[in-house]
Amino acid sequence: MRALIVTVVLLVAGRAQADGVDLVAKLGFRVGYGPMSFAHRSVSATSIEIGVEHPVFGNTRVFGEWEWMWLSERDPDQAMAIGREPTHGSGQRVSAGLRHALIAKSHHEMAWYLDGELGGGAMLASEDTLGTHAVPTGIVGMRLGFDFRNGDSTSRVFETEILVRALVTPRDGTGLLVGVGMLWGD
Amino acid sequence: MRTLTICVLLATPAVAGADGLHPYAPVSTSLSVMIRDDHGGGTETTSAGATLELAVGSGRFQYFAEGTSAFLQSTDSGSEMRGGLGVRWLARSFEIGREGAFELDLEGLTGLTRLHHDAGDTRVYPDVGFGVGWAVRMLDPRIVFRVSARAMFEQTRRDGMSASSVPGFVALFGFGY
Repeated sequence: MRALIVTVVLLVAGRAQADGVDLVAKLGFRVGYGPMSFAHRSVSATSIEIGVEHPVFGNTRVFGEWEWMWLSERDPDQAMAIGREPTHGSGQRVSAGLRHALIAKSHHEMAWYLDGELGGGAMLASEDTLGTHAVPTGIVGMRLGFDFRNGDSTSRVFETEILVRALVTPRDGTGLLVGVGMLWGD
Repeated sequence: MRTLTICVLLATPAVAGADGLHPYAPVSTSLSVMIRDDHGGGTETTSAGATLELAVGSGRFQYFAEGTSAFLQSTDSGSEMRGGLGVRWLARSFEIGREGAFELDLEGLTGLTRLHHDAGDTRVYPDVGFGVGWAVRMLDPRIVFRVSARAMFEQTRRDGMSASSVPGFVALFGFGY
């Protein structure tokens, strides 16, 4: 909750030093990993995400993502010790939100940035013994990355970033997603 | 028919070149290290091996045939063989002058896998999948380094019966020419 408040304050009141933000539509992907709770079990989620972004106002972009996830028990030995099979499932997650450049600096054809993000989504995941669960998710996170620009290229921007995101669910607590992503700007 | 074929071949690079992208090479091959992990039917199977790909390019599309040979790394030792067909789409490209490009690929594929456990159990099953890839492509010399992540869907068994499948995760790291 504290992270959420801090991010909201930064998004609303922060004066981004955004002299290097390229506000163009983007398409990209991310590979992610992180702990989360699913049906009250502690699992790790590995994911592949495909996402799009579009500038909306100022240094703010709207993003939409679709993610395929693999879920596996974080501590299989503990599960076996209490006499149950380790959890192995899979699912999908769709997310949308806003990301805002908090700090951005450019140098010639290169720039780096720190963005905050806020949004929400829903996850639909299943496991052989637990069945299928639909879980709404709130997201708040930070992205640190850099981009290259080339006005002569078909994609004028190539961006690489590290994402750290908290996934807030109503019944299963807060999970974490850490990912590495790449985006190509039109 | 011959005229039609020639016209298609001539038109393809022109269309691809019109949007500024470097089209895929008409013929290419690649060799990758393959790592697979899945929990189909409640049984974990991990394997590692090599994948050889032969591809035909047409503008932003590449049609490929691939073969994989791998060793099982899970609790049961054994081997894995897989043959597949797929199509790859050059979704985005960030060109670095005339030297090369950082590329985003999206791919769809299907195939047939044969798993053999040394204990005697052998399974053959079809699969379908999708993947995303990041490639660094140089134009001269014509070399590609590609990293792909795939989700593979297959029907699996649990205690000898069909069960819902937990898709497999496949990672490929390879060089192509």
